[in-house]
Amino acid sequence: MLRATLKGLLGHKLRLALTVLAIMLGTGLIAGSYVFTDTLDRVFSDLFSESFAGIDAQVTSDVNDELASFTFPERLPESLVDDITTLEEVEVAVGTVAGLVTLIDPNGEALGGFGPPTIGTSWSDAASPLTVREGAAPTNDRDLVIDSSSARRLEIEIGDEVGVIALGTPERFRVVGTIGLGGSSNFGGATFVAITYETAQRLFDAEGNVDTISVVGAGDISPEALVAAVEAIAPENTSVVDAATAAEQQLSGFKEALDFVNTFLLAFGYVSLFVGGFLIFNTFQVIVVQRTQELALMRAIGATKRQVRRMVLAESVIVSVIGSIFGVVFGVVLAIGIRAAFSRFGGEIPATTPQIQTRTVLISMASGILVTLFSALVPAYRASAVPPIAALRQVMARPSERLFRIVSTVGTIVSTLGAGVIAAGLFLDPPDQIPRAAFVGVGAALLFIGLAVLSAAFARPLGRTLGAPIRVAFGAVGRLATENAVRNPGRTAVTSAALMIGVALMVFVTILASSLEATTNQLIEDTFKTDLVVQPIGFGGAGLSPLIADEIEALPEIELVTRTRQGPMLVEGDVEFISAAELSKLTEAIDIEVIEGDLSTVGIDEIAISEDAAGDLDVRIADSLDVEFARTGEQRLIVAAIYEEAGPAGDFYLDLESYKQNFVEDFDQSLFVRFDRSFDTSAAREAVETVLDDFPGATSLDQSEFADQAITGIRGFVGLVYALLALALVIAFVGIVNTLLLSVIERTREIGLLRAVGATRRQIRRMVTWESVIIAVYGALLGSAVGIVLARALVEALDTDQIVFRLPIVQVVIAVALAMVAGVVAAIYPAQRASRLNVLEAIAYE
Amino acid sequence: MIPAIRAEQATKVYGSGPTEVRALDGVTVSFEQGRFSAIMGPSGSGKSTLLHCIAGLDDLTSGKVCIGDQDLGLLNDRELTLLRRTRVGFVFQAFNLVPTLSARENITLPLDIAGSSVDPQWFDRVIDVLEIGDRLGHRPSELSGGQQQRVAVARALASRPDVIFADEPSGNLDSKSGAQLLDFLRLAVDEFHQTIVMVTHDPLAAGYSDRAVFLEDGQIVDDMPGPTPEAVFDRIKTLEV
Ligand SMILES: Nc1ncnc2c1ncn2[C@@H]1O[C@H](COP(=O)(O)OP(=O)(O)OP(=O)(O)O)[C@@H](O)[C@H]1O
Ligand SMILES: [Mg+2]
Repeated sequence: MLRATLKGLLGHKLRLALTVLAIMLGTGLIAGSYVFTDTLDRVFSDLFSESFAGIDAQVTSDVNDELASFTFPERLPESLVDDITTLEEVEVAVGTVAGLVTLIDPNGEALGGFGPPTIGTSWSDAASPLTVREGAAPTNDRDLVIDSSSARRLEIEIGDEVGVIALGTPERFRVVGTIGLGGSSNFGGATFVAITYETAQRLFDAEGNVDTISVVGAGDISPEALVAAVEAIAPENTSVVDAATAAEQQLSGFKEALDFVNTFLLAFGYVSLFVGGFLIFNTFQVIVVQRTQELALMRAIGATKRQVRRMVLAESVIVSVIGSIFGVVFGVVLAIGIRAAFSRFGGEIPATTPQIQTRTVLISMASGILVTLFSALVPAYRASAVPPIAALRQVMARPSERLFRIVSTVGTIVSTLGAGVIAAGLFLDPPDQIPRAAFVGVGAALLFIGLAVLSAAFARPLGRTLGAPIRVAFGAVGRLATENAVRNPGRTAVTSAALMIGVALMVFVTILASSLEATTNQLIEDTFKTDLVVQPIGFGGAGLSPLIADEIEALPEIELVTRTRQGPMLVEGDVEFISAAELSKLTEAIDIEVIEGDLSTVGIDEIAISEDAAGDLDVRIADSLDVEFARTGEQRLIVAAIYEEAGPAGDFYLDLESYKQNFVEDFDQSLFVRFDRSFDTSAAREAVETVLDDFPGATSLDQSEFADQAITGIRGFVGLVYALLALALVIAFVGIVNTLLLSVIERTREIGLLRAVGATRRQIRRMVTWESVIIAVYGALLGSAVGIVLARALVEALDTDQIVFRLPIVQVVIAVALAMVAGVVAAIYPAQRASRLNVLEAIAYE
Repeated sequence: MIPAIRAEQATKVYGSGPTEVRALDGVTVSFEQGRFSAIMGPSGSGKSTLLHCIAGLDDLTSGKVCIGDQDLGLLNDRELTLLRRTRVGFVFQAFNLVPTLSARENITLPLDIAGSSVDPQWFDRVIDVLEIGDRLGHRPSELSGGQQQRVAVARALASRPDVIFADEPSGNLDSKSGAQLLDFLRLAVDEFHQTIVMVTHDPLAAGYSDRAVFLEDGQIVDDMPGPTPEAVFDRIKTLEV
């Protein structure tokens, strides 16, 4: 039996190749997701363990783990360094001061920009993982060293001048050397510069303080004993951990982010594989039909139903194993591609050897094999149902009324169920352990399967309707194309369903993106009351120096400047981001509808909160709210104002004074600037720009520029999503090619007959092409409809009148037009093959 | 008068070296207009090959075939296709019809493909003679084998080709529907002056024709005008000995 299976496979290499291709594409993204995140994991594990090389323990302020990755903890007194050094268990202790900086080139332009941050730190010869690569260590207050890979990337050489902005105006430094981290130059894509200890303290406004203390133990002392000794003399709210633990702590926050990225990518991987399942299903269905006589013969000579079924399933397993192996290889290639995409989107990610773990191979292969087996199940049963008598007579099965009823009933039930599960996920409160996304995902899968089945019932009438213009335009060829497109409604439905899913998701994302853009524009238009916003360039560097607001405020052309800042806090165990502003001036800068209390008088121990958040947290005006800040720990704040919509502001507001007490960071996030009306607008802006010339890390935006920037951000993300969805579309495309090819092979005699009675090669090509276009457009239309409904449902579910639903008709029309083009392109090879058929061989073809 | 079809020294060789098969070996033959000719011979004698070559479905290794005054060897694939479309009709032994089209659509298919219009009077007359008027809306799978073959004949007649080629058209039919079909072919020749060249190995079928040409090992071995089944049967016997 196995021999028959193998022969069957090898006898149809083309069929095999396309199925393998589908499985490969489907499993590729799954493998790629793991390879990508494992590789990143590897890079950062190395980085974090390297960063503690040569250190036995580290002392920092105690800070809640959840907040640690978003903010800086309180500083430690410098005196603690001396106290620790005097311990006999300690050989050396070194204090380090560090912070975010922006590098400026000699022309005054900011270097780097979007992407991983630039970190400035104090240099130490002892108890430090940093090593000099070339040149020398910094010795005076104008010396700076930079990590060697950033030096190369930014084209900075020893002897060059660079500017550094930390909290104030840029200061000039001379590059005296390049550094590495232990033996490597991997800083995880971040840029690292080091300056002398005293300079760092001055630059980061940390005189008398340090951020961390690195400790090296004396002799052979164990890490535990060292930690215990240091802990004994450390003040309260200080954390002392050994180097290994510190590395792990840093890595764990990062791993959470990686897990998120992995899940995000995997979701697209499973979408691709799901779409691939349709292709596989189709292929096996056709195989069974084409081999009806062969299967019947096997039954006639004594093969049992089960043996026939097993033969088809065995074939699917063999194909899926081959496909998944290719998939893993393809995954590695994709991981490199994803890295490139992320690099464009988020900044440089260091390249290392791709990490292919056993888990990756197992999961990818298991997914590929399971989906293939599952897809081949129905065809296998169908194969086993072939009666032995079929060997003796040629039967052309015609779909019966009964089948139609069954198909439409099953389709309706499954798709209704799917829609129900989606609705439950969107509108109801699902049980705690199951995330909403799981409901939506499973519901969508059911919906798509249901629609595919249902569309089989309607492929005939709908396909004929779509073909009507083609019939009119192309006469006999058009009629043949239309009839071919609908002669196997099941096959057409499954083929177009694959495209339907891809297009539905594409349209869904497009609608959400354009709705989001419309919403953003609306929001900015509604709330933006000032003339300018000043923001830092990129998100990797420091924020805005407080000096900027001071200097702008001093300009005669300026009537008002409102500073805002941002930071994390813990509320009921969750990390929430709060905004801070000079609340007395905030309502003049942006439109906020206050419902209760007075926003402008919110004081030190008070907080303003949005209506939504107040509802979620179940707090009313004058209630107290317990929060936790990284710097000051647990705090009890009084709700002093409740405002209507979160809008661009976020759900929580602190007054600037309160922020300054509770956060280490001392820089502004954005400034809202209003001109004095007695001055010319362009002159006023000119004046602001002149101030910003001294602060290259800052930029000013008017309302439309601000909106553009927000929308560019949305588009960048949507582009990434498109790229990931593209794989599913490619699979759907391969599916069309596959179906056409199989159909062409199946209809060899018919095509030969057409050629014999006078159809030209070109007419045959046209016939196949139009058949393809009908299938593609059918899928695209269904997909657009589903995408629109899903997007509408999601917007309804968000249940806020802030969201503007925007149906991008032009893009949807373009999607359908592109599907048409895809149909034409997909038909190129099958049509070629059909038109090249030798008439005589075709007539003789059995 | 120019014969409808003329083959001169037609030779067709399949393969080369030890596996070489001379399916046609210097066949020179003409088929007159308005007559019903049969090509006969034992299995493997080259009947189908000859038919395919004179119908422009296959090319010769050497020699020459003309339909009317047109030398087929001078035509490229596209010109051959157009020639088949306008001047030639086919009836095969089986699988004559496109399963997705109705009988009517199958009959008009060559005209539709060519983009020319159907002559309704001619169409009605053909339908009438072939007695398939009540079956026109059905798909091939809903027709009996005999009806399918008659639809195929109607298709071949519909475009009024110079010549109709038929390869064992009654081969798949029982004797009654076979005889009926041959009656129709005879009728087409007598009523419409249609030229028909038919391959068969059935003496009864050959009996319907005006002339039987005998092939053996790719060569013409006899040419019998006004064949009767008995005469043909006797001739075949001598061939097979
Ligand atoms: N494509 C081919 N390749 C090789 N040999 C071929 C090919 N087609 C036909 N032949 C050989 O050419 C010879 C003539 O074949 P042909 O089909 O013309 O015979 P036939 O007279 O129609 O026989 P039958 O009555 O069995 O249909 C045979 O020996 C056959 O094996
Ligand atoms: Mg033959």
